[in-house]
Amino acid sequence: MAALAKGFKFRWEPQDIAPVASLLALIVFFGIAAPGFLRLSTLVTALQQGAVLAIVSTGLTFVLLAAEIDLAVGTVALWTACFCGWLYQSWAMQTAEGRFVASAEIVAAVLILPLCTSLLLGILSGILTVKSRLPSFIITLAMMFISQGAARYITRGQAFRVPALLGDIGNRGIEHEGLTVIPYSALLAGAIMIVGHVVLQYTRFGRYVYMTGGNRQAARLAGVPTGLVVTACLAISAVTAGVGGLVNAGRMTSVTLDQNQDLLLSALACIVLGGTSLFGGEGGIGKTLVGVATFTVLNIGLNSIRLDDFARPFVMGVILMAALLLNAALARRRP
Amino acid sequence: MTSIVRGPVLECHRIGKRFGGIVALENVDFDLYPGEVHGVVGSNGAGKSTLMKILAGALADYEGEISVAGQPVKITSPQIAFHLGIAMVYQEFSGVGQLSVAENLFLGRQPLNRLGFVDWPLMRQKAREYLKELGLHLDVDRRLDTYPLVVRQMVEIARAAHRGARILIMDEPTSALSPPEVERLFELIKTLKQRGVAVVFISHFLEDVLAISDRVTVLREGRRVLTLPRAELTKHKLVEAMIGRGVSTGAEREEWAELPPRVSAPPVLIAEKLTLPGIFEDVSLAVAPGEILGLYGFVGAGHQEVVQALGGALAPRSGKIILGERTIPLGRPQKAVRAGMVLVTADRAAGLFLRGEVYKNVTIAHLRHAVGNWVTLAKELRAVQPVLQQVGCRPANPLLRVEHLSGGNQQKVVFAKWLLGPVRVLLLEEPTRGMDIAAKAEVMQLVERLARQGTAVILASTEPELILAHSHRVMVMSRGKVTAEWAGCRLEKAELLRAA
Repeated sequence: MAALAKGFKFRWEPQDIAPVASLLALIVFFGIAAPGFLRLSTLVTALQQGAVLAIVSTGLTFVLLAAEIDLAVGTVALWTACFCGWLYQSWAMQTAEGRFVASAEIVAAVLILPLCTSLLLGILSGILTVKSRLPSFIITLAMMFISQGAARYITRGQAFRVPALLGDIGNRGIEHEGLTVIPYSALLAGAIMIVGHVVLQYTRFGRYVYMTGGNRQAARLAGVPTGLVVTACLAISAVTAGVGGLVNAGRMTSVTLDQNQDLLLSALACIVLGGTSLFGGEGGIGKTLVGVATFTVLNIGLNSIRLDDFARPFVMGVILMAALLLNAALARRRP
Repeated sequence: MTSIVRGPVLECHRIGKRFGGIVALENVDFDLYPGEVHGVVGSNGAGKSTLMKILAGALADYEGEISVAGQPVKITSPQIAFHLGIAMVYQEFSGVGQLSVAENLFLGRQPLNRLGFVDWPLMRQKAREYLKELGLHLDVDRRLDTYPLVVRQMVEIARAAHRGARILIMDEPTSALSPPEVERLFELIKTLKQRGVAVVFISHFLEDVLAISDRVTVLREGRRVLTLPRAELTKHKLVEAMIGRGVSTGAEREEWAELPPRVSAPPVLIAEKLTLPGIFEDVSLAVAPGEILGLYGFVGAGHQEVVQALGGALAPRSGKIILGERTIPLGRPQKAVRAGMVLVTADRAAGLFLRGEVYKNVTIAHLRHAVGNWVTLAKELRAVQPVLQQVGCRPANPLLRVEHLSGGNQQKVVFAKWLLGPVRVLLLEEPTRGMDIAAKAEVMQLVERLARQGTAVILASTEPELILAHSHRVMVMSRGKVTAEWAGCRLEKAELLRAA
């Protein structure tokens, strides 16, 4: 087999290299500009901050590869966390000091049930998109309001505690000499990304996702169940959004309505920064990983050069714009 | 140009045009008088559209001289053609459907009031008056797309006339119209004639050409064969002029075909009364294993849509498709592919992932069968290599992106995709469009080889030569209906064209 594959070399194309180059350039820049930047602690912070984004971006990558979009990831994340908190406070026992304790079964139920609802929301978005023949942009826009409204309704604006397990995932990790080296959230994100990558690259479903996004009509004519593929992608995206929401709530030890507000746009920015096409069929989890890393480095880097807090989003926006334009320009320069 | 022009409004002298080394037009003379309808006919590739593109300003570098109303001109852009009063009416771009009839009529030139806003009452009134003059009684406030195609076409023609066009070029204006609609269109053309507008009427439908034209010009292989007044012409004479009877070009093989006797084997595919209103009606057909059924028709005859419907790409309103013992649900390509009935579309971009690699294009339809549950590059290459060799794809590099292959080799990739699984019925829609002679021959050899191995083939084409060269049995469709069928006899090209 090796003999067969020999002679057919993969070529690195400019649009594959550009995102990695931007990432390295940013690391070098901040390494020079901010003396304390190149340290292990920065890496740990990056892993912790990037984990939620990585989890959510993985699912959203499936949707973008299939040439659809999911605008509901942020609010589905919020809904899932809110529902989890609401269930937890309803079912767990409150101690005299005001802490909540619950059995393993209850904790499991409190985590799994909300994820089931996010799965259902995703499937619903998918079925409605396919059956109505409306763009997923419209359907998931409505789903965005629905899930946000549901979160608002059950929380009534109150903060809810989430299980301690989520707090551990969000804030602790594998320790070395008393210091966290690898946060659990990053481990979870890594696992999800690996599964996502394997599914996309080595399963029939993965190939169908790429082909559905690359040329919907050709895929349909080749017998690919494109409607099912689109539905599955939106379902995957909703579930990863839900997991992301839970981890994020864990990081804060409770869930409030102001969480996950930037999640949708940040995740989209990460995916596109990594070089996955908004028009489907091109990209992958590896690229999304590079995108998440770039986004996180930028965030932490701007923080560590002590930029005015109020100026940060502006500078971040400008740099993102520059990186996206650069990627797009390189992608267009194909033979 | 308000004065009445006595001489020809358009005169073309020794027009020529080459594309690379290929002569598209040579020494063509053509003239047109005010108030005349001049029909232009010819087979595919005769040079009709090249001539019209030159007149419309779409091809700037032509040879020869053109004069409009006695003035020599050089038509180097569509703007110049427009200012000379030459307008082309395309049936597929008939106005803006979302806008009203009045807005379409005044598209880009809406009357304005003193404040610079559109003067709606004036526009409606003027539109109503003008359409009435042309004998069109339409609600000018209604959205254009709520009217049938014929009305949209007529509004487009009225728009061109209203903008002062003296020469209207109509390309296949009747191909998608029913007989009463054709009558309506002809009424409009006659009204315009009386107002001194000259019309160039290009069509495959010879009856229509003979019904409306004052003179007819026949083109063949880029040359003008004849120009005669309507009174001296018959359909028979036109067909003969188009295909060049008596002129031996060394291509006798394509002038007629000896069809083998009808095969006795039971059919593998039976289609019953397929109907998609406005496209095709009551189409029934059957093909046996190993048989190549040629389905001939002009552009818009509906035969290509029938083939698409069999493959599931289009859903007919009613009818039945039976493959082997099983009924295949309509409009479900997945079911058709599973049952081994596969469609090769005329538009190759509709069947290929152009940005994707060759191997991904080949394995997509039969991933489970050819590669299994775990998709790896090594397994895919192992599956793809033999079929690529079999179809003779060059270069046979499965890692190349399909967009970098030539048209002929892209088509071979499409065939390779289907060969990876069982193919019982191969549906071909213009399988050789846009290919050079060598690529054409290779692709058709592949089709014949598949047929010999027992695949049933339906070959839908607008090229009579292709149909005659490769079919075992021939059916003709015209305006959505089957009009003729031949098997086990000698079939002349002229006969085929007459039935269409």
